[in-house]
Amino acid sequence: MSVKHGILGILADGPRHGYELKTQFDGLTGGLWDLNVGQIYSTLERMRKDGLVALEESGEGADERKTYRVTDAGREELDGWLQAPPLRPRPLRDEFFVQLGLLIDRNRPAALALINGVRRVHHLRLASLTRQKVLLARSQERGRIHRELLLDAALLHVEADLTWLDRCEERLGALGGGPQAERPPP
Amino acid sequence: MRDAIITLDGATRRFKRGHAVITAVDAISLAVERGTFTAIMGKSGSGKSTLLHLMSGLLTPDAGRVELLGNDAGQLSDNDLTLLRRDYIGFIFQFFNLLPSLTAAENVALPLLLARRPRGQALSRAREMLATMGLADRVDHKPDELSGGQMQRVAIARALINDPPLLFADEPTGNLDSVAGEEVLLLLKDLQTRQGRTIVMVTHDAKAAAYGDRIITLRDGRVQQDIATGGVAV
Ligand SMILES: Nc1ncnc2c1ncn2[C@@H]1O[C@H](COP(=O)(O)OP(=O)(O)OP(=O)(O)O)[C@@H](O)[C@H]1O
Ligand SMILES: [Mg+2]
Repeated sequence: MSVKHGILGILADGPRHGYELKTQFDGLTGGLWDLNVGQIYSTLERMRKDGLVALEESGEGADERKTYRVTDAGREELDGWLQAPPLRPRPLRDEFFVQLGLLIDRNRPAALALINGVRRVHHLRLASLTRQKVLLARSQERGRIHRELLLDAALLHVEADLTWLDRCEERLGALGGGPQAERPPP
Repeated sequence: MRDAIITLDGATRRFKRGHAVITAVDAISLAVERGTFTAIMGKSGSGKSTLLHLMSGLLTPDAGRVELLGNDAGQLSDNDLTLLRRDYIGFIFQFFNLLPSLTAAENVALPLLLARRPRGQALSRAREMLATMGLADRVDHKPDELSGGQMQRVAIARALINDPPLLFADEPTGNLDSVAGEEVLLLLKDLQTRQGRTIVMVTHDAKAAAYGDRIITLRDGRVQQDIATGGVAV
């Protein structure tokens, strides 16, 4: 799981506290990966038990700060992970796949209408990603290239979804208006 | 519509193919507001270019009405339509349509030269325009000495030389790689957001269409979907 490895990678630059880790992790994923600070802390706690990170406390009372640092075992784990291409790409799991499966033979016009709705959503998403890209192109932000590449990844995936939607529409359109139009094979 | 620069009302255009008649644009009604960026999408043969030609007065409708910059396009003489396009409309094409024997500056100055403006004045204006496109060091190059992206920027400079409020682009990134294509799209976006021009662009690339603030998809000569995307703020 790469939340753990992302944390190790950030800590390899120096000790951090939990909230800094969360901000930097968001930077690494371009904010496209929803992660709350609670998940960071629970992951850190597990990593501490596994000996990958160690906790350092400093200050007292209101000034008390907890920072985490990477251990030698943590560095070893990180180095191994950075050399291993992920074997399983993201799962292709989409609410619309289920809706399509349920509508395709029961209510084809509704399936076609839903395709139009999904297409609209995809175009809105492309516009929003493009907006981020344009703003980024005009900024001199650090880490710009990585963020730009992540936006490109998202844009190209949505484009593929749109191409696939056109194919769905074409196939369904060719089948005719509804299940009645289909004749059983002789 | 608050301030429509183009209005189509049941606009229809047919073509003969052998004995058959194809309805390339089938009774389309829509309005384009001033200062907007509209992208037109659709499969090959869905009628995108024909619609663009109707909207820009390159073609007149067989039925229905096209109102362009306050004129009923169907009622104008060919000469009046030509003047309307020359003075108020810029065109950008997929294959740039630059004259190979002319330099970049001469290509850009061409509309002014054809309108019999003094040559020196026309060329210096063309050079200025090319400089704003980041092509100051390319003004004396011929098209075959330029990259695709540079050629398209020259073509955009030429389209802008008469300072038209309305720009039409048919697949302006269709012949460019993705980096050069994005530069051209950013440029078009600037022409809209910073200079207030109205842009209508045909593209089959959804990523390019995302630079528009409205996407119209066509299917068999009709509007299939009309999507307001909110646009890209720059
Ligand atoms: N001048 C013409 N003469 C005959 N038929 C034409 C003419 N122009 C267009 N058509 C036909 O009208 C239909 C729509 O053509 P149009 O060029 O508008 O499509 P398009 O969406 O721009 O396609 P593409 O993506 O291939 O450029 C097509 O069937 C085309 O063959
Ligand atoms: Mg075309």
